[in-house]
Amino acid sequence: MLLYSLLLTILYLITINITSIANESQLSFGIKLQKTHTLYYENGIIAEYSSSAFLGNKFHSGFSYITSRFGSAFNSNALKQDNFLFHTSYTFLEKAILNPFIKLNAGFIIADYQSPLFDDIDNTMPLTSIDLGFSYTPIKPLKTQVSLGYNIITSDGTTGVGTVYPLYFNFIVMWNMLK
Amino acid sequence: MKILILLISLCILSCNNSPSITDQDLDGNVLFDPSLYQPELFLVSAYKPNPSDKEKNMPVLIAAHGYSASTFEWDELRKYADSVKSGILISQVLLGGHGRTYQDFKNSTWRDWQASILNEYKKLVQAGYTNISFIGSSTGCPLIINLLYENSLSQVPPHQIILIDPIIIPSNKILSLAGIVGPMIGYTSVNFDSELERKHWYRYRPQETLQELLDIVTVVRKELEDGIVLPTQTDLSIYKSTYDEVADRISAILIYNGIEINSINSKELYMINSNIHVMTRLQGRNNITDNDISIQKRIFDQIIEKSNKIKK
Repeated sequence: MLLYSLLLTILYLITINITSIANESQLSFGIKLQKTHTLYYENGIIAEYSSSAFLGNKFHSGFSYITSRFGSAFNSNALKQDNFLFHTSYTFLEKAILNPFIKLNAGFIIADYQSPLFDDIDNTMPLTSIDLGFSYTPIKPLKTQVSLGYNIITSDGTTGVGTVYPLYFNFIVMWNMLK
Repeated sequence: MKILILLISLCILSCNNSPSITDQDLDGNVLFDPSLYQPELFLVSAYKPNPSDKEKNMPVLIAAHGYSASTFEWDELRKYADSVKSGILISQVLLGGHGRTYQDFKNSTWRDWQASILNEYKKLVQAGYTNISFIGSSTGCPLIINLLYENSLSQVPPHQIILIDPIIIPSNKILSLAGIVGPMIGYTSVNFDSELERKHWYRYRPQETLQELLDIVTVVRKELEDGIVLPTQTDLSIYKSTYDEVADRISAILIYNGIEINSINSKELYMINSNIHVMTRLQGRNNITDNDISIQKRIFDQIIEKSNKIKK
């Protein structure tokens, strides 16, 4: 798990380094809302970076943290779980009103079972998923995204965290700080 | 264009919703659950509809089986309880839509499945039984938990709620897509370990029932998130195999954290180092070890002890 996280961090730093060479960069911060199909709401924050010099601002990379603590587990007995994800995305038809994109995510989840009785059960596992969606910019520097995602790795009931389901929906609102 | 034709062909093929059912399958029109013919051998309400004053205080255990199973799932417990003269009566309830035909199963909802449990409870209460407990396996568990949440068991609060490999989160996450993929595939099927299983479990699982299964586990998960307070007279015991390929072990965590007790009653969790789903039924399985038999006996002894527990 540690090696996996380290690899992702290195990849992320390389990506940031490449994009920072560009003249016109976008550094956006925002909120990310996620609903897993037939399971939890998990909400949190997202940061994303891109450069016009690198694939003409079509390529984005970033990080997000979402948690059920700000969703289904808020004031309820739902499982408290935290998702840490790095992502890279590529946007098509950048000049259209709706910009389709594909996004690859990788990271990990940590669950809090709230009792030492469950110490023998895995409380963390890697996450790898793919999103397809649309970006829409109503007013610059505000950007919104909706996407449908699919977790490629899910738990099989014998290993990992059982609440990693395949299908989820995302809604993201971001503000570009460099505009 | 070729891809489009392939997709249309696949769709047409996948829309063939009729499995090939034989007379050797429980799903067919020949084999039925024996409790339909002889309810007095399975239901305490039919066996002793007019109990004496002494019998009214005997522990009665209402046993609910899992999805696509039948009363057979609790045969071993009843035989064991009889063999050790446990002093408990066991009602092996056949869930609605189960143990009949594929079409009956297909047309049933989880409310139909649950109705059999509630009917038996009501009959026992009406007959005067006062010491009633519940035991469920797999899908039988969320059906019982929902009855607790809806306060349907308040007339005579249960003494014990015993859950064997309860399912709230399925191990196979594709079940979460039942509403999307289900209509395209029509049904799924399972392979059995033995002819015995073939006689007592449905081989074919209509997608409608998979959606019902997803519905009941989703409903109960949300009820657990709200919190369920056990009646003061009721104890809870959860038995969960750690490597269960049907019910994700996280189900036990959600139930344990979602059901609240007070200072009088108890809540106990037993994580079992096994990959068997529903350890209380070993008959008809392949590769059963002495250790499995030993674990099963220990669980049976605990069930009997809990059911016989006298409360102040």
